[in-house]
Parts: sequence; C-alpha cells; structure tokens
Amino acid sequence: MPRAAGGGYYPPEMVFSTPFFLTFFLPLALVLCWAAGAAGHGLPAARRWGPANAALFAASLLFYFWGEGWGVGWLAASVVFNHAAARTLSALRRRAAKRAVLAAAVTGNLAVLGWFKYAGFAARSLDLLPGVSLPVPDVALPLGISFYTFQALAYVVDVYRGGAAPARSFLDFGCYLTMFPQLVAGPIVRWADVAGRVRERDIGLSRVASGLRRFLVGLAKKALVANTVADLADAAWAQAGAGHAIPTSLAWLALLCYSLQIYYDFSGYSDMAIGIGRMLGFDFPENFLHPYASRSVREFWRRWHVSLSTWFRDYLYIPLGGSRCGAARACFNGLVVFALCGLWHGASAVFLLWGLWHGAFLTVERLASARRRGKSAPPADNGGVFRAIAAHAYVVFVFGAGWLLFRSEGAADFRTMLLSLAGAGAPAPETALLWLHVHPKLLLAVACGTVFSLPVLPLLRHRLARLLPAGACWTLESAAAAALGYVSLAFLVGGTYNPFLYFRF
Amino acid sequence: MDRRGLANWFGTLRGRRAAEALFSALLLGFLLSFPVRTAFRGRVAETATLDGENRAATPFPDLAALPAEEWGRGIEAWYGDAMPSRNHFLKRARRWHLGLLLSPFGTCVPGRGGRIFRTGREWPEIEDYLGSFRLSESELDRWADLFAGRRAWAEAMGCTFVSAISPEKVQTMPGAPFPWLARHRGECLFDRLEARLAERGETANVLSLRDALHAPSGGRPLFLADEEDHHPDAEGLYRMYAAIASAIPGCGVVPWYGGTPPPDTAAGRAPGCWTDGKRLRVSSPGAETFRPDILALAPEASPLPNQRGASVRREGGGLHVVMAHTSYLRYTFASWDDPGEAVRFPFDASVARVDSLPWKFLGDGDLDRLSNDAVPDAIVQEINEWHLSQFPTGYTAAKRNAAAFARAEPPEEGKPVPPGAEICVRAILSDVEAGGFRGVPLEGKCPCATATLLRDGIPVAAEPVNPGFRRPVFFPPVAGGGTFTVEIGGGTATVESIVLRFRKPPA
Repeated sequence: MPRAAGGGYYPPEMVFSTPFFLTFFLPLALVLCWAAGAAGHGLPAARRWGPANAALFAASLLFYFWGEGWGVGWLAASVVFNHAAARTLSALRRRAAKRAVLAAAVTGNLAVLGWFKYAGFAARSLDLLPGVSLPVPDVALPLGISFYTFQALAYVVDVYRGGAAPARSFLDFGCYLTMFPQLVAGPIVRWADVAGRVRERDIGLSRVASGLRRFLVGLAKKALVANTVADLADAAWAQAGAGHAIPTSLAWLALLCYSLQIYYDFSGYSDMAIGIGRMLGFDFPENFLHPYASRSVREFWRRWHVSLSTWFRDYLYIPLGGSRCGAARACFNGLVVFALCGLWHGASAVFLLWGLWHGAFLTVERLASARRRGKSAPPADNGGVFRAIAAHAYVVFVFGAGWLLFRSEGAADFRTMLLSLAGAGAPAPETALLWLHVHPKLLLAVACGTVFSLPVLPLLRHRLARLLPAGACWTLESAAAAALGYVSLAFLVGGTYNPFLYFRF
Repeated sequence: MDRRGLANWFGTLRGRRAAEALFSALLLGFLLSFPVRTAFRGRVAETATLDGENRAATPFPDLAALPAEEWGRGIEAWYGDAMPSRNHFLKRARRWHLGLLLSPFGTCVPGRGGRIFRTGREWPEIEDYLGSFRLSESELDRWADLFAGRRAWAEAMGCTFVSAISPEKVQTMPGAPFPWLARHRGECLFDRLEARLAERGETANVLSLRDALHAPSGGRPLFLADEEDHHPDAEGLYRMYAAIASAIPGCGVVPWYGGTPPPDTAAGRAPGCWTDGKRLRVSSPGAETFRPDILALAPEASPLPNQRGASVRREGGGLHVVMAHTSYLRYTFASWDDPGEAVRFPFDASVARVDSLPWKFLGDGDLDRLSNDAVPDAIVQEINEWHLSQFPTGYTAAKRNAAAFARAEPPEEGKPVPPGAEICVRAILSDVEAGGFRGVPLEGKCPCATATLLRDGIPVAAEPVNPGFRRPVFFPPVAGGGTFTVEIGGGTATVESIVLRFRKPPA
C-alpha cells in the first residue's frame, strides 16, 4: 500500500475528497453508469448489465489513469493475466495442472507486487550485509497495487478452491477488479461477495439514498476530522524528524491526533467507497467496526481493516495451519501473518516492527486465553467496570505505541517522540510553533473524533428510533448527512484558497 | 394532512420512497449542477483574477503540450480555481473558520478584537519572531553584501539608497493572535543582520520600519494595521513614509492632520495627509500622476493592473525618488479596485518626482537600467521583514564589481599604486548596439555586446553589456598595474571614459 509523504497509508492522489472528484467526476460517472444500466434493459438477461459493467470499467480505468497515468497498463495487465488464469483453472480437470496454474498465477501476482513494492527494500536490506553491494532499484509504486493484487490473488485462489465460479466475461472481471470506488484504498472486495451483483443488481432509490448518506458521512470523516487533526500530527512529527523534542502535552495531543487521523481517514475512505458502491448497486463489506472500542488486540483486529484481516486469515493463516496444529504453531503462524501484514502496509523495517508488535501482543493474548481455558476461568468480559477500563487502557497502549511506530519514518523521530511523550528532553524554541496548530477547530475535531470513534452513533440512532417516529428519524439522519456534506465541501474548497502573498522576490 | 398523518404516511413504504427520491434528486441535482455549469461557463476563469486572492486563476492546461500523465493534475488545478460557486464556498468556509471556530483559515488567523492576521503558509513571520529561523553565516553575509553593495553602488552613482524593512502585522502585535507568542520573542533575522552590518563597519542605510509602527504611544502598544487586512492603516503608512523621508537627505513629508484636515487641505489646495477611516488621503497641490517611463525599465510582468507602477510629478526643482515597494506602502495610494485612481505621495515640496515600482521589480537589471541615463537622487527599496528568511537575491557579479569600485580609493596624483593592490575599473560606454538592438526590449531578451578589459594589450576580464544609450561597466578587480583599455566585441559602442581605483590588499 502506498505510504503518503506525511505518513499513513493513503493514496496521495486520486482521492475522493477533492472538489474535482466530488463535483465533477463522481456525478458524471454515476450518471454514465446509470444510463448504461438503463440502456441494457432491452437486452437478454445474460447481457442485461453488460453496458453498465462496461461503463463502470471505462470510468474506473479513466479514474486510475487520472492519478497514475500510464501505470494503468499494469492494472490492465493484471486484469488480463488473472482473468486468463481463472479461466484456465476452471477449464482444467487434473489437480496437478490446476496447482501448477495456481502457482504460476500467485507467483506472477506476487512477483509484480514484490518488484514494485519490495525490491528497493530488499536491496537496501541486503546492502547492510558485509561484502554485499546491490543496486537499489528506483521504481514508482503504482497506486492501489497492494489492494488489487490481493483481490486478484483471492480471486484465483477462490476459483482454484471451487469457492467461486470464474467471471463469465473479461468485462465482468475487469469491472470487478478495477472498480474505482475501492480500487486505491479498499475495502478488499472478494469476487465471491460481488459476483452476483456484477451479473444482476438493483439500483433503486432507497439504495441510492442510503449510498449517498454513507458517502457523505465518510466525506465528513475525512474532510472535517481527519484533515483537521492531521495538521498537528504532521507538524509534530516534522519537528521530531528534525530532532527537536516537543512539549510533553503537545506530544500526547499529537499522538491522539494521529490515532484519530488514521482511523477517520481510512474509515472515511471506506465509507465513501461503500457509499459509492451502494449507489452503483454493489454491497462492499464493512471495513471498520469501531476498533477503538476494543478490549483486546485480537478484538481490535476483528474491527480494524476487517477486509484485510479476513484476507490474511483466509489466505495465509488458515493455509499455514491456523490454530489447528497446537498452540506453539498457532503463535508462530500468527507472528508470520502479522509480520507480513506489517510489510503489506509499507516496505520498511518500521512496518515490519509494527506488525510484529501487534503480533506479539496477540500471541500473549492467545497464550493467556489458552491458559484460562485450561483452568476453566470465566471469560474476560465478565470482569466488571474496572476490568473493562483496564482492558481498554491496555488496547489504547498497544495501538497508541503501534501508531507511534507506524507514523515515525525512522529511529530518530521515533526516539524523539518517545522522549517527548516521556517528558524527557528540553523542547527547542522552534517547537513553540506547534501551538499555532492548536486552535478551537482542532480541539473540536479531537473531541468529536474521540466520541464518535466509539459506538455512540449506533446507540444514538437506536435511542432516537425508539423516541421518534420512523420518518422523523430518517429525516434527521438525511438532513445531517446533507449538512455534513455541504460543510465538508466548503472545507475542501477552502483548501484551494491560495492567496498570493508575495512569497518570492 | 396533520403532523401525525404526515408521520404515518412517511412511515409507509410509499412515503419513504417518495422522501428518498426527493433526497436523492436534490443531492444528485446539486452535484450534477457543477459539471453542467462548468460546461456552460466554458473556460471563463482563464484570465480571471480571483476575489481576495490577489492572483490570476490557473488557466486550463495546454493538453497538447503536457504529457498524458499530467493531464489530470493540470485539469484539477484549473478546476480548483474555476469550479462554479467556488467563491460561495470560500466565503462560507472563511466565515465558519474565522468567525465561528476562531481558527485559522488558509493564511488568515483570527486574533483578539476581531483582528485578522495574514501569515504565510509556513508561518515564516512567526518563525522569524521566535528567532527559530536561522540563516547560515554565509547567507547572512549575502544579505549584508546585498544591502551594503547596493548602497555603495548607488553612492558611486551619486545617489542615496535606502533599504526599508517593514514588519508583518503579526510582528508588530504578536500577542493578538497568540497570547503566548509575545513572551517568546527571539533574535530575529533583522537583529542579526544589523549586528552583522555593525561588525563589518558598514553603513548600509538599512532602516527598520517596525519602530515607526510601534510609534510614540506612551508605552501603550500601538498597532496600526487594519482589522481585517494585513496592510498598515493610514497613520501607520504615514509614519512609515516619514521614517523613509528621514533617511533621504533633504526630503520631508507634508503635515499629518489625523481625522480632521483643515478645509484647504481637504479641498486639495494645501498640502497635508489625513485619514478617512482606513485610507490615507494625501493632498499635494500641483502634483500630477502619469504613466511613468520608468515602467519601460521594469517590465510589467504582473497580470494585475493595480500592481503596476505609477509616477507623480510636481512642477519645480527637487529630488527624484524611485521607490520599489510592497503593497504595504502602495495600498493606500493605488486602489486595488480602481487602477485609474490618482496616486499621491506624502512627500513635501522638496521632492519633484516619485516613481513607484512594484517591489519585485528592483533587481540588479532594473538598477542598471535606472543608471542608464537618468540617475535618481534616491532609491528606496522596501521589503517585508520576513522576506529576510527567504533568500537574498539580486546581488549579481556586476553589482559586486560596482560595489568594489565604489569602495575602492581613487589614486592620488603622483603617487604609485601600492604594491599588491587590486585595480577596480569602471568604463562608461555610450551608444551600445548588439544584434541590431539599441536598447533592451521590454521582455529583456536581446543579444549582449562584450566589453573586454585589456592591460597592456592583454585581455584580463570581460563583461557583457546590454544595448543602450549609456552603460557603465564595472570589471572585477585585477591585480597589478599597467595601461588599461577596453575593447567592444559582439556589437559596437563608444568608450566615453575609463576610471581606475585601487583597493589595498587585505591585511
């Protein structure tokens, strides 16, 4: 997954939260796809959604080309290669031949991903060995390659396992793999989950309205919360990167801001993807289930980037043996999965450590759980308020420290931030500048971000549904979504405000 | 249908569907209105100036000239400025940020008393105020060289050069946007520059206008900038002009009358300055505004008409002052909204002519052109204090040579040049012609002639010379004496004079 310059793992370009996408590309793409869907009404059932799929395929390729230029060739090549592999797999009867084709498909996909994403990292790592001097390849990472490669891998493996039938046509498969709502930042959608919708789907008013609402909520998460809190987080890490210790209170606030940024940015993007998918007639899986409400690292990973966690579970952890081969092997498998999960987020030792950090706590939890089961101890959830608070504090510590590692670009800024959090090291005069980023808007975003990162909204919705008539609740929700969308658009357009103030001679 | 009936109807499948249809139609219609309006508007924003942003809108990219990968970026940049209702959203966002959330918006920061502060995106003014921005020793020397070199160059021409450094609003009132900031004043770049000039024993005529804005206020912090603008208000401007006038020998300013000028002054029959709310009003009887020929010297690169230069002339003798200044000093005089409005300067009758240039048009090329035929009595260059954190510009090799010549000593008659001394040579050329050009065209691109300095017939240095009526050429210092002559290549010119000075070898 590409790592943006400011940290995090979001696409640096082609994001949904630009005025151009929101007010130009998206409405035109929706109208094009709906019009093509309407045009297919007279066609035989098998080809009924062909025009709509073609329109979506074309819009997706244009979307990708917009941000990645001729890198779209790699995406197209992936479509051709994986479609051919799946067709071949379904045509073959002999198990050995099928295995060979699967191995070739998996190798091909991983080779491309490995070259673009990991060749530089591998060469740099090997260069550290005495007597080794390898040229470090300088290749640009195509947008979303980690996502679409994982989707393609899941597709060929599912076809091989018989869990899914291959796409009927190249167009259907191309439409699925390149689908622009989830192409560059997920969720990772499996063919088995959307195959039915590719062939036959319903684009009713209620789906469009619900998709719009979801999209607007995601947009607000990104534009109002993530962008706001990112300001302080970026500034704080920039100071740390320059080797300046920062005031302790600001360091903690910056860490909180980054924790909120990464959640709201990523989950906001997923919400927007799910919303657009719904408007186009698709149901993408949920990707975030209030992860910060977790009481264990295990639960955290069942709620955080769910489509990735389940991908690793189904296509790596279980094939490695999962938890069926004894506790020690299960722990080892877990560590392998988390090490690779870390590397999936970025090709550097920092991400590897981040993955192992989570993996280590998961292993500890697994062992503790096995021990409790052996003693027939009561489940962890029954421990009362103090136990719940302690469990939350533990998870906050693990993911907080994890984000500290994740956001740091190297050992130097990690160390500086760690010292700053601990109150060690005198803040440099430059760090007074950080107070410029602390203003009511930031504090409001932090407060709202913290509250709504917990399952407050579903609770509120539930209470309101009991108190108000159905129509009032729906109206309230729709009006709130529309208002959030309007404010978000104003904030995003505000980002284009660029007065010329004589910066140069 | 009563409220209960409406709620019931809404609860039905039909009612719900109708509501969803309305919701979807409204939102999609809203989103679709943008491409539709863009299509109808075409590329209208190509030449537009953006409201309040003081810059031209990004034009639609030339797709034929761009690689395909760049199309998206180019079109998005264009759309970012050309998007329908952009101003509507900007105004909303600005109001919400500055009025409701009391938080920064773009380069605007709300402060106490409803004041808006405008800062650069990277907050360079505040960085400078905190003393956290450090120039390297060599960068500091380059600034010192620039100011001292220009002063020396001007002195060689018989002209006064004043470098006026104006503070940014936040630097004059740091506690207003951020109360903590006032307690953190560090060593600003200007402080360091002053110290460096003093160390070197330079008299560079560098004037800080910060004191002028802090003003005689009996210890009360007096802040003279507009509430919502980053320009100083009328009184602040007057005080800045008064400070500049005090640095130019023989120059004075007309009286200041605050908000109530005498009737003759208000009617334009007597000289004086006053304020009508925010704007500085100036009465200078007999003065006329004209399009200055000096604009031919400084190309009008700015697409904004109100950023261009203007001149004021008054009958009778007096100083000729060239001012290159930022919008600070220009703002009150040259209306942004009405470029045709008269331009006045609060100098008194000792000044017969003022040429006003946009501040960025005072590079060394402009100085050379200024010196071509009519050398003014004084040149004032105003720059913002925070620009010191940028990069020193405009100190070219030619200017360095000129400054070396200005600092060197004329030989005393009958005395030999001291051993080891370096000779600084200035040649005055007239009727310089190259490649068919007899003057530098507005866009400044034309072939140059070459002036070669020969010592005892052997070339020792060469300098390019632009075509023009009269051009001074300063050669780099050369060691050792001899007979010096100048040869012209790549064009023609008449060598009017060659002047030698020497500088002593470093101890």
